[in-house]
Amino acid sequence: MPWQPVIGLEVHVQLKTKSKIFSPAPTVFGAEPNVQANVVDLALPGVLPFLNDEVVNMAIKFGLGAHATINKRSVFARKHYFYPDLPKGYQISQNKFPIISGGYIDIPVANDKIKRVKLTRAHLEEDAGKSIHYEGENKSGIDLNRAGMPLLEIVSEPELRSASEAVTFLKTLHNLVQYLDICDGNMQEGSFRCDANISIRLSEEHEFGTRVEIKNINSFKFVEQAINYEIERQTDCIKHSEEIVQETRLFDSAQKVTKSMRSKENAHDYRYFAEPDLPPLLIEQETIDKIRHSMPELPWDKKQRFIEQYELSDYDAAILTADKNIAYYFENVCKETKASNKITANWIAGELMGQLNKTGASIKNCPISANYMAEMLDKIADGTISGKIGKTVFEELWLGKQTVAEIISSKGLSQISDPKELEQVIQEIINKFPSQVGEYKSGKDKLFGFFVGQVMQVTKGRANPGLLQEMLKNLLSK
Amino acid sequence: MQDDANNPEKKVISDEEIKKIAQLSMLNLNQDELEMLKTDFGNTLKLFETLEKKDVDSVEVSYESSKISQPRRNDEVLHDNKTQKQQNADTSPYFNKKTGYFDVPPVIETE
Amino acid sequence: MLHKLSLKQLHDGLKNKDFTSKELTGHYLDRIAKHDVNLNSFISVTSEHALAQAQEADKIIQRGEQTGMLTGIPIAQKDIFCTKGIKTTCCSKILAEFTPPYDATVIKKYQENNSIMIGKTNMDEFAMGGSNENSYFGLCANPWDLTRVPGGSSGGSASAVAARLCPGATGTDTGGSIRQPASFCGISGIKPTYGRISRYGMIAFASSLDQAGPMAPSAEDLAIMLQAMAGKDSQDMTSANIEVPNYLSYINESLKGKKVGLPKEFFQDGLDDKIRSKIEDAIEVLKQQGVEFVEISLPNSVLAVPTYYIIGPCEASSNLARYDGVRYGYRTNNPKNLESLYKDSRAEGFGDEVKRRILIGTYALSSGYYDAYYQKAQKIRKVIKEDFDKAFEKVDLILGPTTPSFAYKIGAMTKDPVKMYLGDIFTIPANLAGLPGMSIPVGFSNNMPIGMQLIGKAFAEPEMLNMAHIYQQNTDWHTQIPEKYTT
Repeated sequence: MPWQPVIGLEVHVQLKTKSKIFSPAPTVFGAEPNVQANVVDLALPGVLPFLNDEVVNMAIKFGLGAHATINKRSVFARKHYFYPDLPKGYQISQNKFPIISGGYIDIPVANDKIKRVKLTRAHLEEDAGKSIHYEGENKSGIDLNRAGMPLLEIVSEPELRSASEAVTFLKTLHNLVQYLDICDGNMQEGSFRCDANISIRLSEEHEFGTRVEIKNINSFKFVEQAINYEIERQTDCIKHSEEIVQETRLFDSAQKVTKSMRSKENAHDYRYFAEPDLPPLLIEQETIDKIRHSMPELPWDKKQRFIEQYELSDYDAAILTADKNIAYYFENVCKETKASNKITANWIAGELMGQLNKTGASIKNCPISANYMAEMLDKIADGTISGKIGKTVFEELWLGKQTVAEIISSKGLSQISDPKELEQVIQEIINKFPSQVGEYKSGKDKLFGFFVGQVMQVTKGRANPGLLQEMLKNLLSK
Repeated sequence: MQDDANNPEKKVISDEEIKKIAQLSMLNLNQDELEMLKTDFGNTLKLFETLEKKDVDSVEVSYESSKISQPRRNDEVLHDNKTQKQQNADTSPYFNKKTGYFDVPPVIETE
Repeated sequence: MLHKLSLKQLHDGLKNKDFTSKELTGHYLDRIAKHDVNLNSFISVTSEHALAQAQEADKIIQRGEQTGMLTGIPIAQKDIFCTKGIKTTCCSKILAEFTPPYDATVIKKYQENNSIMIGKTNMDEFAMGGSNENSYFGLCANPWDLTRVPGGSSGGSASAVAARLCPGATGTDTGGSIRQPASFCGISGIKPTYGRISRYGMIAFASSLDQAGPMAPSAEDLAIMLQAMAGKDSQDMTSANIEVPNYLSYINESLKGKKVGLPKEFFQDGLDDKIRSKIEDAIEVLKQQGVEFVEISLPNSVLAVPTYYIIGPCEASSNLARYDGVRYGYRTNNPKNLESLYKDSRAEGFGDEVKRRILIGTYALSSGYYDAYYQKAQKIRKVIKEDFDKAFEKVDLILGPTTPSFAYKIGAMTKDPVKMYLGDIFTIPANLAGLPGMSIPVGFSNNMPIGMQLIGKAFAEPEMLNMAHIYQQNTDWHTQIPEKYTT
């Protein structure tokens, strides 16, 4: 009997502000340890938190993007636990009164359907620091540069039903926060990470099973693996009549398994109470309205517009808007090129995104500028080069050394569209293969492709395909 | 104080409970301290008993002193990394000038 | 006899060049050297720093620049305020070697006023206590009787001012820590409205209750000091965005027609008869100035002590979690592991009273008890505040005793912390309600001073200082100095 997984996600989105949530220290990644932790971040005696306005604006932006309620009054609270990377002995977070309540994210699921995943809430909090272990020494080091980085924790309802749904949800959310320009989305640096709550049950009608939390998963792949492992583990437990323990587990990405954290870690008593150093966060309607009016186009709106404005298929539009920088690139190329939107879309979704994936490069530092891409597509459109040759040009452009024109001329890649020149080549081939010509003429039509291939071989693929077809037909029938 | 400790009426908190609270508070207490604190604890809880009679179920707690939102900080960096490093070295005896970390006994990663 | 002058007189003297700031500072440093051996009101005397500041102040005065009221005048700072480059310990072993890299806003403001910081005063560890007996740096004595406590937690400041080792000092008041020692030592002290003075750099005990304030012989002195300390601070989001009035300009207003409430709960059986009679005398003085008195009731004020001893420790348990031996402060020797680093550093670094309050606070916040204690205390706090709101519909100010008894003998209360807690019964309500409260001396009994408390509406400091000043214009209790310290 198939068991139904019930999955809810808690996503930690690092907001891309210049300074920290409660201090004016910088948020740049990768600095020397502890140099970006000021008196407030270090929790020196007597310091007080001072709320960064931009953090609030970004949370509002998210709330608007996720169709959620922006609470005009939210309350910061202290969450207590002792850990060396938590300087105050408490984390300033929001508990009973978060800044954002409700909302939803629509995600694509099988058969071109859309699933609406409800959000429980999103609240503001500060990040903790990090600890490292000194190699070969019996001590650790604490780095508090990350302490006080602004986080928006987004909590979904337990409405996801498979690992792949969870990943789709995460990807949609990941895309949204980047569209909103509130997070750099860098998962390796931990700017976007998630905890997953998983339980299983017999079917829709049954109550939720015992919930297990997997903490701190920082890649889409790991999310999928961790959830799938956990579903299997829990199903096994039930099959063997073992009890599923409500606990926190960690994902071991090397062994691809989840492991129980020590029970002590589960025995937290956070002793939340309203943060007396910060008055309740009051948001005026005016602020919300102002942000609403300056909202960027959201991914689903952009997709719809692409379908209408560029007459793209749903599929193409989805691919091109899945990353706002790709979408931006696409629109820039469209503006410049004479090529059709469909061809432009094919090139970007196919060749370009393939290359980005293969090399791990990001569209933002893509070696082929939108201008060059447009120019290349123009050369295909006007017949200077064939689509096939275009791929060679593309590869050369990727190296970033030459312009489109330089590549075409230096490699002699321009298409042979001169009938005289082409006729000469065709004639040579006809002369070279008299028996095949005979066979063709006696009705073996299939041999036409053979002649095309021969011409292409001789011209190194530069023959204008349309012209070649036409001339070859004529000359062979003579 | 010792007399109070022997007064069963004042013992309203168990050894186990006070140990749990000491653990949550991250305080290492020896037996004498435990006894003393337990007694004081009990007396303090007795003091709190006067609140039990007061019915405040219908009272709503509010935290704000003002209905107007407090000004928030502009998102500006006011910081110098170099100065901070020196400050860390000056303020903390546990700051490792070589590595830049605050050194502590091993933080055992949970398995 | 410079130490008998008020702040205003000192200001005039400096301005008229009757003496220099260096001379004045030197005079007080000499007095500290001579008298503080017995009092222990200072835990550090910042002579060099003070003399250098005095030299700067003298230059400013020499140049004839427009000088503030505190230019060149030495003030002592409670050791709860962070001072850049100068040890700040909160009188705890856990911070005994701590030197902050920054100045508290209060310290900055005194600097901006070109005032001289003469030293840091003794206090109960982390401001927890009412007798100064919880200081890691030892007892502090009451100048009126060296066998008695000066009160607390701002005991060092009260003792130093009473003995005229400084013309004024700062204190902090979470449940009475300015008013009670002021009362015990026969000086004036005001805890302003919550939010009136920035808490930035003031080491936190209970964030929703802590408030800094001045301590000095007279209400006029307090007005001058409060002027320097008050104001919105961009580094403290709980500081009030309300304009600071000119306190001195209001101080001489007539009291005619002012209505003062006498809460019947403050005059019940527990009150010492001598204190009651001195308060009654003071009421007579004020009546002659045209003040009307009416009985009022603050029915829930009887719940203030237990409410406070829940909220205070809850916030304290949280505020003191940062002292873990990881980044600064005391660390146990050779901790065998991380847990020992935490538990032993904290166990060795904190004193008994601090531990008691951390434990109580942790308990009251812990799962299963939160509603019964913390949540309930917050609700009662609101009810107590509403009592005041109601009372202030009828009266301008509230008057009563500051403490139910005088300064007691050193050691008399140490065995029973709860009994000591009950000594805060009259001061705590103002903290819970966030209202300004002040204490002024109204007489003596057996040579020990008695204090009277005024409580005002939020930001009613001008009215309170005004009433206290007019009272002091008609009495001389505030000018009394213990005999040993007159010369």
